[in-house]
Amino acid sequence: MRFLIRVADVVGRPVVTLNGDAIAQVKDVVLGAADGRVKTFTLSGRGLMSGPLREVLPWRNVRAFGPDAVMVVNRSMVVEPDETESTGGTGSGVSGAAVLTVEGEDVGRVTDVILDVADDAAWAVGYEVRLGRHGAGRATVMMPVPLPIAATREHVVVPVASVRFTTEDLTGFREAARGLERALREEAS
Amino acid sequence: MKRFGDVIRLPVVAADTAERVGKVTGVVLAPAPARVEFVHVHTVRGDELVAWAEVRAIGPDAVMINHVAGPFADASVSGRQSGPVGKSLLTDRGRRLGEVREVTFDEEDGRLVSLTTAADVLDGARLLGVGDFAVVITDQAIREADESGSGSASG
Repeated sequence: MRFLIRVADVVGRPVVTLNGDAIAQVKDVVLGAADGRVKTFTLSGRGLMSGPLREVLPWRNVRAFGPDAVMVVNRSMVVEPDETESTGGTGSGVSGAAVLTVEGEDVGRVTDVILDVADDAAWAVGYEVRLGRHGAGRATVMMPVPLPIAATREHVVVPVASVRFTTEDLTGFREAARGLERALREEAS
Repeated sequence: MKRFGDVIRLPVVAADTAERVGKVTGVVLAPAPARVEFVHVHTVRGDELVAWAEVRAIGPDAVMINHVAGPFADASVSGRQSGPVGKSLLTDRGRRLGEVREVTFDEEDGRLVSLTTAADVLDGARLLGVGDFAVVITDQAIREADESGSGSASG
């Protein structure tokens, strides 16, 4: 199974054991700074009164990251955070960052991160962006970006070509991402 | 073959004394092999779990058990009180297939035959677990390649 999903749509998904027990829900995803890969899921408890949990779910302990739930073999897969693992940007952390092209043009604001999810890995492939200088516009588009991801809480930097390959929604996003890849290869050659 | 809907609310009667023990309120499933492990019975003492081995017959009008050997396991402390019907049906790949509407089992040996959702009938042998949140089955790549492009695949 392979699918695209926004981080905002992953947040709140249940973490379920193969026994069918929901042991937590996803609070956020931690992405590797260099490769944009999902390294860790941070968690909150389930139910109205439960807040954030200290324990995290590292990617290596995930049985499957599905469209409707994150599956784990059992409760012991949720562990105390390891300092080396929880460093990196959170998926929702870049929301609000300004999208700058490498030419220094501000094209909008990040409203979400798009993940490509495969059987054995998941990684960032683009942003949901509200267009317009400082995000003042009304149009929201899906913008593919190449790896490695250049992002801080303040800015994300994208190639100029990314702006040409935006789509209205996730339908057609893969094709746009392939188009961007081709365009960048041609630029480089 | 019996459906969950056929046995729910049936009286449970001891074959040796003809005593009415209670009525069926559910079934508890277990994997490997997929089967009915307990029958959930409401008795005068409360909610109890009768092991499948104690069940002599599941008839059209009553569930017969071998002896009045109660009290049976207290369902509220065993932590296994939750039945499959009404729960989400998830695959081990994290895909939701719907809600479990019906469960079919072989009344001779308790083998789980199928799980039914509004859209599908799934092989009971695929069962991995029944928990507080969901019934989990192996994915087995049913309907592969439905790559979700719509993004908000929130079900």
